[in-house]
Amino acid sequence: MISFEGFTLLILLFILAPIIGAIALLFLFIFEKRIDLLENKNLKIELEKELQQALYNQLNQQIQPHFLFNTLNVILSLARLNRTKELVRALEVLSQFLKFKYKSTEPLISLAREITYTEQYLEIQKLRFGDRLRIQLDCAEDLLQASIPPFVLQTLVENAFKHGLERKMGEAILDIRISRKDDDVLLTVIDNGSSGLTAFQNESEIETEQPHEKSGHGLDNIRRRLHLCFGDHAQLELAPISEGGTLVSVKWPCTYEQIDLR
Amino acid sequence: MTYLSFREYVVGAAKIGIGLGVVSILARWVTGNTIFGSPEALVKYGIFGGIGFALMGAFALSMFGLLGRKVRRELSEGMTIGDYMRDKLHPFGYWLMIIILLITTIEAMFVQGMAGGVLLNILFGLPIPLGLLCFFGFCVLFAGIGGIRSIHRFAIVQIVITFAAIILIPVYFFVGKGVEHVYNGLRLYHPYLLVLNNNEGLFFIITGLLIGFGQVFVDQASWQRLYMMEEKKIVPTFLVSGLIFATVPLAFSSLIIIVLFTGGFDDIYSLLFDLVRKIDTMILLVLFVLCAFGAIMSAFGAGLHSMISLMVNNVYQLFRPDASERQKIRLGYSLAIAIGALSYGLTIYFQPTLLDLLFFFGIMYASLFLPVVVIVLTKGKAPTFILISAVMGFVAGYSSRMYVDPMMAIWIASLCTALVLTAYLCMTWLWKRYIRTPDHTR
Repeated sequence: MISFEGFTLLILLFILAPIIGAIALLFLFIFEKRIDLLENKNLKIELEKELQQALYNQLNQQIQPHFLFNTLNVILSLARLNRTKELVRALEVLSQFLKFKYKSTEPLISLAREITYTEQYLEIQKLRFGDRLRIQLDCAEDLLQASIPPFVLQTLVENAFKHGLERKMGEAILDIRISRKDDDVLLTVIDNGSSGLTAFQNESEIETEQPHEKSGHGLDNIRRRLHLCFGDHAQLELAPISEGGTLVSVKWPCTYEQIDLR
Repeated sequence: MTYLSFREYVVGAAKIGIGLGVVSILARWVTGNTIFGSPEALVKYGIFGGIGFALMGAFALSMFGLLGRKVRRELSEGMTIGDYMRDKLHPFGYWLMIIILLITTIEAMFVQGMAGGVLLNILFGLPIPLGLLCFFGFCVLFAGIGGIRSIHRFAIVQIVITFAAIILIPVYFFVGKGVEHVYNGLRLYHPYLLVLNNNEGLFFIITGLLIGFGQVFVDQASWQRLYMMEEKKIVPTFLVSGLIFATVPLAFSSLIIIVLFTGGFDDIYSLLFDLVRKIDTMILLVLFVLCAFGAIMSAFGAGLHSMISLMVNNVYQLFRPDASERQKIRLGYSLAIAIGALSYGLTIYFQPTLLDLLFFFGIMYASLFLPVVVIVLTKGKAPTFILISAVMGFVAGYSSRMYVDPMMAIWIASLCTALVLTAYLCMTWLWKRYIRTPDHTR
């Protein structure tokens, strides 16, 4: 026989159950559209993310030919000058360098890695320029693990050579400084090349006008990648130097979130 | 109500969400059976009877959602159970299925009609034939002619009224009388209702589950609702519907307890009459009456609408494939009137009790449940024998009814189907595995 307490509980269940049911139904009617909307928004965000990733990968792929053609030009110059020893070393460094190039798919890497690979490129240039080339690289110790989109520093260095130092008679100076400015990382690449800015600007204009037709140009590519990673918080500026040469500065938020698998 | 196509008349122009889906399913399943059947079960099988009724619906609807997802994946653009069966069965099996479906739908509508007539008689003292005429006339208009749009509009109103009634009336009475008073009354007049080790009650719960599964799994209106919603919303909709449905029989059982504790009773209908007399507040009385009529009408309407859909879409269209949408809709309207008249005639002629009916047709439902599941789970075309096993179950069930009690007959029917089906499936498997497939290992 059911006790009084058991009976009370049963009656409580019989009375409360429809109340809970009605509340659940009411909740469904009120919030279902909102839940659907949120689900759709999430889906949209996911799709946008995918699109951005695809765009980013595409940009990363574009930057590789840019580098490759510049480096091959360097090697071609060495060959024309019959500097066999330097040529062999250049090919050796290029091979190591390409190993990274074709493996790199992360959207962000550490500054330390970016510097390492840029140094490999610089080694090729050193073979060409010999004692004429003076490189200064300063990076604050605490920024070595900060995030940077791959190939940013390299592209700037390549452009410094391509548009400035290549045409420079006498000593070629390349000054790379990486410092912290408030919450941002500030990267400056200064060269003492002759007519760098005009060429840089020309490149930038061409890219702005025909964004889809360029394939070997790097500056717009850097801008777009920085924008994809950091939105409006990142910026890239070009400025002439009164003594001759160009200053390129890039600023982006200091984060340590690189997906550095290796 | 103007419809541009027959599809719009059957499943509506746009897919419905979980909210409206749950309301639509509840409107179909909160029926005369729930109002009259669950109190009857409570009286016959004690407190477990009401709980059994609740569990029966909850489990069956939830499980049907799972099966429904597979159905939609296999045939996403159907409208009725007939469309799916046409895709899955060979012609003989298909027509056999259509006949069985038509019989079960007529039964479902017959039950609602009976409940409607009885209610009109109890409440207003109207002669049953006249009450039934009004009831069927209104149902034909709102569901048969009005189509799915009108059914859904009516469903929302009905569910709001139902919940208002089943929440307010028990609270009003139990707060007024006090639970202890009710408990003592039950102990005095009906102590058997409070017995815990009520084996018959437990047996009823399990049998009820079997009937409930069969009823839901072959219910055309539920299949139609599968095709009204987005595929990803099928499982949550049926799950929530099951859970919310379970609360309704519980509430109706508590309503009957309110009447039972004051003394004896003649039959289940007199109990309802006592309940109506006991509700002394006008607003609650109106709520109860509207709730009871709403439940019966929406269930009958859903049954009528799904039967019309099946007959036009899966019978008429096969003989007249070139029929225009206008012709199909017009035939639908004519069928609504014809089916309404047929139900009226049947209800006037036969007058069994609701639980009798539940047990009588329970044999069919219990036998159909497993074959329908196997048909859905079969890859590609399902063999006709699967359905024949259900027919064997009917034969075994109805023959044994002469010798054993109705609940046992339901078990015999379902066990017979299960055995025949298992034997057939085993034999087919063995045939495929060892005889038909050549041995590639040599």
